[in-house]
Amino acid sequence: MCGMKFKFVLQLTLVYIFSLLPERANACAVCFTATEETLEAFYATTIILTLLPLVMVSSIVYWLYRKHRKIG
Amino acid sequence: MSQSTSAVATDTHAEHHEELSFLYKYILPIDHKIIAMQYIFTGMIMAIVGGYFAYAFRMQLAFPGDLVPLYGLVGPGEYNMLVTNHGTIMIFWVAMPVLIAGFGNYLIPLMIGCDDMVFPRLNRLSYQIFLVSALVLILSFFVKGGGFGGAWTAYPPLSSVAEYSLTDWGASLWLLAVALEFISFLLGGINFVTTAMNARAPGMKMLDIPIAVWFIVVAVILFMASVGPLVAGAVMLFMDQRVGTTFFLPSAGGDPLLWEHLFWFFGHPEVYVVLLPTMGIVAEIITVFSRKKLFGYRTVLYTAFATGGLSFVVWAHHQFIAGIDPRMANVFTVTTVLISIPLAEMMFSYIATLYGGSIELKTPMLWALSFLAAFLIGGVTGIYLGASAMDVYFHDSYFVLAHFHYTFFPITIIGMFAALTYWFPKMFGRMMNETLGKIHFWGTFIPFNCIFLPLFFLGLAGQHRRIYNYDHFPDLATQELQDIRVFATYSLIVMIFFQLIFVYNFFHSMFKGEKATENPWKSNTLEWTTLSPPPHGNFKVLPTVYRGPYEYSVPGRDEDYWPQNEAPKKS
Amino acid sequence: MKNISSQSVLLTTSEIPLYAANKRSKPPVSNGVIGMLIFLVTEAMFFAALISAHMVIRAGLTEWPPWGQPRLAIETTALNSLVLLVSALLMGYSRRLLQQDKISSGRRWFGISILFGIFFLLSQGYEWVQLLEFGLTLSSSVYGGLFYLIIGAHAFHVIGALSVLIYAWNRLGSSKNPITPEAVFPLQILWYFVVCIWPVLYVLVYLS
Repeated sequence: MCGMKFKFVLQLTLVYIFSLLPERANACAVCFTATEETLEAFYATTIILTLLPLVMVSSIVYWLYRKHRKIG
Repeated sequence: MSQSTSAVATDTHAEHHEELSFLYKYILPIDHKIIAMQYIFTGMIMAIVGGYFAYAFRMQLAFPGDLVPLYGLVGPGEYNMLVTNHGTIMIFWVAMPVLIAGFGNYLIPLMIGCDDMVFPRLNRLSYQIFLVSALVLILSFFVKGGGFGGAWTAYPPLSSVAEYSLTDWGASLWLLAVALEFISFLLGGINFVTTAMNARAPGMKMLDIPIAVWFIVVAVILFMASVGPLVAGAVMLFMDQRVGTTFFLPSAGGDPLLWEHLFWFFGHPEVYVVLLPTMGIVAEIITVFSRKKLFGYRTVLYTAFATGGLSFVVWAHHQFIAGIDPRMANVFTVTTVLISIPLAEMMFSYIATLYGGSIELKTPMLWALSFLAAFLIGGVTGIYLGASAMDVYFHDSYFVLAHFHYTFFPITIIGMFAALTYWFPKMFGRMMNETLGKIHFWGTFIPFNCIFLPLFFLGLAGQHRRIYNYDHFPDLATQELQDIRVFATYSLIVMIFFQLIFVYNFFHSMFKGEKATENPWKSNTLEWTTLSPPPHGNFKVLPTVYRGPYEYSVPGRDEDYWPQNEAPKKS
Repeated sequence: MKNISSQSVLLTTSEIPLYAANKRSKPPVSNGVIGMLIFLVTEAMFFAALISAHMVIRAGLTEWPPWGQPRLAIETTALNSLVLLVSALLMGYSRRLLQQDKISSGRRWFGISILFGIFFLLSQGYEWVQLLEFGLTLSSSVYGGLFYLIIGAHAFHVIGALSVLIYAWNRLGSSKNPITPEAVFPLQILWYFVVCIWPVLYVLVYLS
């Protein structure tokens, strides 16, 4: 009984430790080719492409809103 | 333009809307209604082509190696060409032109109470480019090597190297057609947003705009903000194919994953681009046929904004197994699950609108309700796929295929039929036959479920997509799985036969149907206050708006509807 | 009345502004400007994608520029960039003059701004000829491909913007078929965009 509980705690600890090392829990078959620079470039471009439209559209909408408010 | 010229302007305006020769009325129109018809009819013709392709490859899957009646033998290359172009046509040449360009063109000026789009010539140019793009796509089926067969996502290097795809010119023409089509919708989109912004009827405030118009505008803004990267990617891919650059060729310094980024950066917002117009159309229909105010107009509107904003941050969930960083996959799993919240809220608002209403089950209402039911299944299965841990196993299986057909079929086909049956009286001045309409509805909706529900089970059994003959895979060639495939194919044939009823009903009603009144459904929005069909210039007197579009069953009134332009009684 | 069109040159609207027809109040932002802004959102995303492509492909290669490929003319192009920026400033000045209804002097500075733009274009074209002679072509390496793709995309925008600007400049002062200053504002916004995106591309392609 006690052994089973210990086993469970051990398993939980192992899962926790592995979750801190996500590159070890890498399940995909093709993830090993990219260099760290490429990964970083993909991060950067993802952020640029994602935020740019949101920033542009919301600033245009805000500008139009202010123009309309001024007119009344 | 100064104020002094406006009186003169009004005079020439009336004159301007007089007689037009046949050429300028139907072939080179600037009237938004005629351009809308051109888009809708072109889209419906392309839907026949796309459906024919679906028939051919479903027959091959059910009876591998047999001659397909009315088509011939489907070989592996042929099969790839059929599925690729089925997907491309249904999304880019059916969903986009009918739902956004077609109904957007038809509804925006009528619903906001103005006489035409603000840039009518740009509008005409937009359709002409669209027509050219459709012709280029059709041309690509007949060049040497046949049409492109690298899937509608066109991943390189399969799509960029002619020795791999075996469709040297087919691939290039396909890409050219897609790029032309985007330019066409770019021009249309500029028009839609500007019109909705600047040409509204006096008195129509932002929150008096019907949901259908709002959603088309949000969808267009999403499209405009997301299409740039795909155009850039298409230019690069085209150069890879024809000029000899190596942007996507890993052996020469390129990166194939880059294409997936650029493609899906557009590709995922695109899903919401086609979803939102249908959602708007359904909102109009369910309020009219349940004679109730739309539950939470503002909530529905804000959920659309939230969906639009979030749609830019979910796209990498298409690449969970393509080699992206697993840490990034975690982020995109969270955002993907998040986007279901605004959409669920929208669905709940619609269901709350139905609750307690006096529901009339006319044909458009049946389509609208079936959209909600079917899209629910599509949405819920999407949550499974959004979780990266499960997607690793479901990826590229028939589960994915069934999932997106449960979203795209309701959006495109059911949404199109809902809109056509609802606005038919306004478009052609005659009513459609209700009995035939209902037979067509049940004959489409039941076979639709019979086609795609079994495919979920095929996917869970491990059936992979894009395989032309499962006989080569012993695990997948069992009799039970083959029976499911045959059942799905037969259901498709049944569904195709029921479309003939629609075609008959559509054309018969167009010429011989019962004459429609101005407002047969007793609706509030502005398009129902003018003649059916509306004359060139839309309104005899351009309307003034006094209230929101969903004032149904207001207490203390004799009628249960209250048109937006009816002046309030002076007490 | 028919001869004076306040509509933008690119975005021809119906003969009659809709707001005039039903005593509609004039919208605070003109149709042309809204249409152009939406178009520029798409354009900005197009260039953002090209920039992303450059960053990703650059990160995948250890040697940049690759071995055997010529270096780009950083100094000459810096001078060119300055010319382009001055052109945008002149365009802004002419816009202010046009807003004050000083059509003839506004038109003069408008023309000078276009001339600066043409100088930029010709000078860049000369640089391209030299690079081609040194062996940098589209297919010589992914480096060359990216250079001609990004700078070429910008050059296409310069050519397109300049041609509509010249057309507008011509119609602005002509006696037969004139347009109001309001009609050229959207095109001037297009020119600001084309100029403003250039320093980003210059830093990315030439300096990184």
